[in-house]
Amino acid sequence: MLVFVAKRLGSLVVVLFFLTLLVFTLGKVADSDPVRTYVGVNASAEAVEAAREELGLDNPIPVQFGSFVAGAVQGDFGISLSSKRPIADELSTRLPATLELAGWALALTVVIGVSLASLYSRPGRFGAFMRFVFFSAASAPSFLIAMLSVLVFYKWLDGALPAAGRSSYGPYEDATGFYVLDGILHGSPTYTWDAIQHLLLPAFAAAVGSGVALARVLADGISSSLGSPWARTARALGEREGTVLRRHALRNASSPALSLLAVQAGFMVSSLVVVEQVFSWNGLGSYLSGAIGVGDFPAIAAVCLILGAVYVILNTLVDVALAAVDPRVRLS
Amino acid sequence: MLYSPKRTLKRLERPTPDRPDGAWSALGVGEKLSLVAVAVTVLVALVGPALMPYSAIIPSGEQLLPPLSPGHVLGTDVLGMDMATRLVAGMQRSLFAAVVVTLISAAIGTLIGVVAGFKGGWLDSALMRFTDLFLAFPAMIIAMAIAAAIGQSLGSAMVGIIVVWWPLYARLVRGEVRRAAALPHVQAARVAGVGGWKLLWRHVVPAVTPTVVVTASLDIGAVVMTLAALSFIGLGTPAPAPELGRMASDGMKYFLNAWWVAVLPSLAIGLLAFVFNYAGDALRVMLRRTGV
Amino acid sequence: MAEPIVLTVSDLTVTYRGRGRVVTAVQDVSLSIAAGRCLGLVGESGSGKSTIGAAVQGIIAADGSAHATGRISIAGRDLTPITDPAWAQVRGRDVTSVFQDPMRSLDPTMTIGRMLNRYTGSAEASVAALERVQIRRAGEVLKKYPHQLSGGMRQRVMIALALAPQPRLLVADEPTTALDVSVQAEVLSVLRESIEGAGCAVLFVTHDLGVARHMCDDIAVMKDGLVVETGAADDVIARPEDAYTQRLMASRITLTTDRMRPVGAPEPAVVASMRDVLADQGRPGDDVADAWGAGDLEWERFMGRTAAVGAATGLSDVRLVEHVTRPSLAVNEVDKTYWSRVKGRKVGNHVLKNVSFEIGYREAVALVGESGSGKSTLLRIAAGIENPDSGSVDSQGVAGEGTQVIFQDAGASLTPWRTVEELLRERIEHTTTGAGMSRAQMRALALSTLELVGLDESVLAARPTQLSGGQQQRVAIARAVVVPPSVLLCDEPTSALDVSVACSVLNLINLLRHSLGISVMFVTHDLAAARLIADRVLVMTGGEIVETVGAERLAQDITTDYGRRLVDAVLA
Repeated sequence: MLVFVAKRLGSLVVVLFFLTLLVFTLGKVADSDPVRTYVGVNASAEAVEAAREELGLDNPIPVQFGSFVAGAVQGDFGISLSSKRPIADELSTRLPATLELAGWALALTVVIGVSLASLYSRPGRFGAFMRFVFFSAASAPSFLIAMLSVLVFYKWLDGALPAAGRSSYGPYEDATGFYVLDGILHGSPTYTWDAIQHLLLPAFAAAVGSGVALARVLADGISSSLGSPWARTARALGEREGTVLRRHALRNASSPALSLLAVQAGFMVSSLVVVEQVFSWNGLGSYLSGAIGVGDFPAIAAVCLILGAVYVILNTLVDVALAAVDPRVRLS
Repeated sequence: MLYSPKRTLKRLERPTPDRPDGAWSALGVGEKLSLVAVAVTVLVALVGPALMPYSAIIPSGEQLLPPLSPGHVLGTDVLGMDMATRLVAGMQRSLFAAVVVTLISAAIGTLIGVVAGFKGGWLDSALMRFTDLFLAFPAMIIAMAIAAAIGQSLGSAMVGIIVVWWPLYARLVRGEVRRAAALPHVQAARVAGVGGWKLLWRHVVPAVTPTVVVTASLDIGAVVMTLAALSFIGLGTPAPAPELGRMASDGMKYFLNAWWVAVLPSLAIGLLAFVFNYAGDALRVMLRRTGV
Repeated sequence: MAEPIVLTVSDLTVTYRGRGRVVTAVQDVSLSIAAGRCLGLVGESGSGKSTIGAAVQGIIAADGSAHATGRISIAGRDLTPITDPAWAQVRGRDVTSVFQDPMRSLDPTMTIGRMLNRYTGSAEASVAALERVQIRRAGEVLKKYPHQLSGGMRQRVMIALALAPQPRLLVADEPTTALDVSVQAEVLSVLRESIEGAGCAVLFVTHDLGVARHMCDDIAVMKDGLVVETGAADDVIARPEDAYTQRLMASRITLTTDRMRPVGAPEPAVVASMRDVLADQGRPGDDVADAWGAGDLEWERFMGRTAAVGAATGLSDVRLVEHVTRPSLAVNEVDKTYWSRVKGRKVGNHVLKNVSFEIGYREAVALVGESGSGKSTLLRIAAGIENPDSGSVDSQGVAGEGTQVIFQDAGASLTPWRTVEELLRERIEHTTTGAGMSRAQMRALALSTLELVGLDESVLAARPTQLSGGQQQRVAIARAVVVPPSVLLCDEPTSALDVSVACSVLNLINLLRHSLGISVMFVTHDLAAARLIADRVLVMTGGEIVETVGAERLAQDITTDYGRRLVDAVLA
């Protein structure tokens, strides 16, 4: 087990290094000239030169990469070309916003996945209908689900749930940036409830796609487990169907589902970016689309690096968890 | 589900003659419908834009007309352009882009997978290390970064997706080639003296093709959605190009007054993805039943 | 007989519906077993024996695809053969079972202890249950996962699990078929002792008459869903009354079967091949069926087919040189190790240790051993599919046409999307004999070979998927001998087949061997089959040849302990 963990950590570092290299390289070959974006089209030649030096672009490429990596490790991603402020400062309030949303979306994914799977793996009439629901939900872009939920819960149900922002109130001073947590820490049920209400629709919109995918894997896993020879053994030993399901099938179906969840976390990132835009959620995603709009590549690179690192680390954690659950993974 | 009679039946039916219509007749009603739906969708996307009475990029009526307005069945957008026309044109664009992305990704991945799987040795491990590195990256984020670096256009979004999509095929095909190469009929052919590319082409590749075709057809829906997501966050060709993702995100500005401007393009994307996902699955089922 | 009847099956009929057709798997079957008795249900695949095994456990699906009528009574309780709620009271209490596939019949995510404790009640009871099936160090085994145990151990665990609830009836469905022969004998004796201890009735489903005779008090022979003969085991074996049972008995191969003549009852397809061989040689063959039936048809009669190949191809220089001293296959000090990674460490599996042997011109040699003995690796190296780490293989022989292989699964060894003609032509093209041939010549040669194995012209244009299993088998053999190789390598060609089909394959191989004058290397785990084909038998274990013995008096002449174990495993 220790060997396994060490190997996974080693490959984690390698992947993170290449991720950084890739993002850095993309910045170098990017279509737009960063200096021009920084100083504006009409700036004088001296101003351009000064900006080039300020941004560190006069150094040789390997040196630039070295300082890029060194900065990234310390959480310094350089200066935004559009706002001219340190990117790290701008992201500091946005990262908790995105992580909070992602956490809720992941939780909803599991809820949706498990409940749909239990409906689907029940044989009988619902089969064809559930298939239709599955494919519809899996084919709906997250912004469509976001829009429809806003139409239903905000417009037609007359503001039953809020459709924009993270809170009806401002943030607390000295807070964690996770609004639900902040509300609880400050002992304010109103604030907490308000934050939860704001979270519901965006988290749901981001979770539907992954939830359906999870449900499919779970349902497939359960049905193939139920048809397996060892399920037959359990039945021959007098186990009832419910026991076979709980004791054997769920256990065997859970490891593919868990590894799928890690993959879905990657896809969820793109849903989050989209959903944040629809709900004016001040997270990394809306920051990213803002940066894309003005061609601010250092800002884009920073968001991609952070989200990428989160994804890669999450995957490693899931791998280790899988190895702990399933003895076969460890030994192979 | 308990004691499976299928095995018994299969055994009893052992001398199965090849029925040319076997694949189609093995399909259920829903599966047949889905294949018809694909044909209709492709037809609409191909010839639809030419049949529409308006231009997709020139205003043709009042602004923000709601659906079912006279002359504009699906209403107009903020510039007064006909929504129906723009949707059909947008579907054509999406479909074309998705097919191209899928074909190129599948081609690159298949090439690398076949070479790695068939040649084996150091070439295999080198190619697969490279592929695994790409697979370990968060696909969507890399696609965004690449598209953002190249610039805002449909083409750059396509490049971004191809870069993260081919490794899936490389892995899949390499595994399939290795599996196929170990099949008794391939070994038998080798023993009979068939070798090299002839062996690959005649005995291995046909065993791998169905899987690649099914995967590719299942992928078209996914690529449509991914392209739309990139376009939605600003990594597509800007207006007035009729690009569905972009139309949806631009429409968000007037969402509460004119919901259709944002919702209809999103629905169009969902429809495309649904049709191809469903049909891809039908194809998968069909292939499994006929056991090619 | 004072013992109470535990199982009564009366007028059981089971039909399956699928793809618009109805198949009757079991028809009007009635049988009964008393406590402490073992009934063997014997039949070939498709005979319906496994369906009965499923029916008496109440696990025939009630989903509409199966339909069953009749009554089943277990320990005095009346039940319907299709799953009904009453079965829940019976299954796992009064009736339990041991299945064929020990690899997958245990939940891979659970330790043996966790599975077993549930049915024994405590860890101590589980240890006792494992000790009853002769597992030593039972405490350690309880902590292991199924994949950490060997097949034989897993099957013992299965037996312990099945007997833990102290059932009145045990269903054993081919419990040892998937195991190695020597392990098979051990597990059978464990099973026998366990059920004697438990005193339950046993329904023993098997395709193997030898196993049935070894295990069972009574035997019921099944064919096409019907029970054709029942009786005490010894009576059925010694004096079969039904024609099918007689044929089944005739198809059984033992260590005393006559090697010089075809085995089993005369079979039309093989008889046709024999006539074809004789016709090619310009000799009369009308009497072969009668001669075979009368027991005076010897393989000697089919020697020599040199002229036929020349006639079919129009080539005069077919090189078959008689009277040579050069061996057809020479294996010199072949060594092979497979490397794999276990927990990050490289672990070597030394599968072949400096193996050397020769196969002479027209000689047939069998390599006999169990899985892991290295025999299959040796065949693959001889066939050129794999390379040895060191040592060499010379397989050019006299004819210079190398080796050809008949694989275990003949159907799977034919590329499904190529026609039979293409498959045969591929082989011809890549030989020295066929190098200069025109398409028409190759076609003629292919056709004459297909006729030799009992197929006709219509098969040429067919794809393997359009052929029956038996036809596929013949096509695979035809491809191997269309240009006679120096050595024909046979990789367990009969182990997956029903006895009657296995017989016809063995007869065909023997016929080809004698008429084409080729050498044969026959790889198998079955000493009886090996003896039938081979002149010499090499016993392999642990990557080494431990004994070489003449085939005729194999059972008497074999001396090594391992060899004796294999002899004992052939349940006569």
